[in-house]
Amino acid sequence: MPLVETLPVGPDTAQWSLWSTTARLVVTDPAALAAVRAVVEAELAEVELACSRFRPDSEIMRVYAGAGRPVRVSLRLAELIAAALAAAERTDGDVDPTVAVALRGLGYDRDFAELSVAGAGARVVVVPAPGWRRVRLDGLELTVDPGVELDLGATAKAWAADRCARLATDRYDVGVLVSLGGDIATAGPAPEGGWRVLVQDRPGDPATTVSLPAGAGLATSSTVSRCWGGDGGILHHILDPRSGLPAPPVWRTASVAAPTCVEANTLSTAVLVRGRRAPAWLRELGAPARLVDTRLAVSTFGSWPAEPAVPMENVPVPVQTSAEVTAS
Amino acid sequence: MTGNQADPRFHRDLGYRRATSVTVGLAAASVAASFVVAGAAWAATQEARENHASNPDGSVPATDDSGANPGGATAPQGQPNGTTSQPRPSRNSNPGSLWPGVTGGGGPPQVSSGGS
Repeated sequence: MPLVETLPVGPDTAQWSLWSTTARLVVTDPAALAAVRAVVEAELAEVELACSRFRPDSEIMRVYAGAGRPVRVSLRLAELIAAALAAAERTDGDVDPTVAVALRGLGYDRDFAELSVAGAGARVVVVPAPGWRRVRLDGLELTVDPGVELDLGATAKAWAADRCARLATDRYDVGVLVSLGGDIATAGPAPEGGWRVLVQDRPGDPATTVSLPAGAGLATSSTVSRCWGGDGGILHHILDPRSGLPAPPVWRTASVAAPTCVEANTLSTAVLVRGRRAPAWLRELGAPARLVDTRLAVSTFGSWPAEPAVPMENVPVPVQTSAEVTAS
Repeated sequence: MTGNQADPRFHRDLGYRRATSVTVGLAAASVAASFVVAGAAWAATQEARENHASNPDGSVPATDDSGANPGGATAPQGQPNGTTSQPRPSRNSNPGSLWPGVTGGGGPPQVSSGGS
């Protein structure tokens, strides 16, 4: 189940369903809310049309028809691809956009709202990702090798949040927070004390409220959200590109703050793929981050405020995940 | 900079009037920036973000592909009368760091971040 937003919606806030999750918009001037929302919704519609893997009329689908030849794409799609490739390079391929076929093989082949956790038992096919170097972008010329398909889910939401926040504050000169399923971008001036964010994965998980300064991003990735049923157990959507399998659930949840939401999302996704190697990496980077392990123990990094330990009696049994899924 | 970026038609065709944003956006394609560099860039631009204003001539920036405000929306002109809580810049609480400072939240949260 993706993020469930339970916070109240005040006069400075708009909220609606989007991409099987929740979009939430907060502005510093309620008078601008309706106009800002219009800008955000229009941009999100364009992002979907550019890169959705579930829409046959999306621009990315036309790229595949190029069968390995360069295809001239829109600036929007070029920037989305650039963000995905940058994430792949920065993480040594841990966050790889070429996982679309792998996700489809595992059963994530339609809008998430149409998948079912109760569908456990459905046959899955494990396919390692072909690798992001089989996608080349030169200006607006995009080349995708034959058979390679892209899932930009790891970075597209974050890119869209960054883009929407920047567009809105450029146009209306207000402070803006855009959250797309908990991937948060801010732009313009922040409220007094910063933007206040409740960080929590599933209900009952450890929770904390933090403040972000103006112009920062925050993203949370999870191995217990967006899960569905396949043979061998419950699958989640954060794949290790090298195996084509959901990443082993060393971490239940990873939250990272960064200069942009794309960077935050890149890190939070990579943390889940890196597993036990992630803490040393985060310390080396100095990034503010919060990791929750499968027993709900919280670790914080960088400037992220420390949290008290959760009493053991409150720790639930870890959720079954896909670690047992075997290649077929 | 790629040939496309240098070509003025590149900007005109796509309706982006702020060439710098296009350049910055596509610069990501070079994948040259490390997280450290990105953090440094953030620190360098933080002041500009906080002091953000509309175009110098007072016009509304048009940065989408259509060049038109969706839904015919018009930009509000200044703060409405009676506003009691003017937004104030929240400066980076982690000065000198390459990363944004995250602090304990004071007050009710405005948004949630969970697995999406």
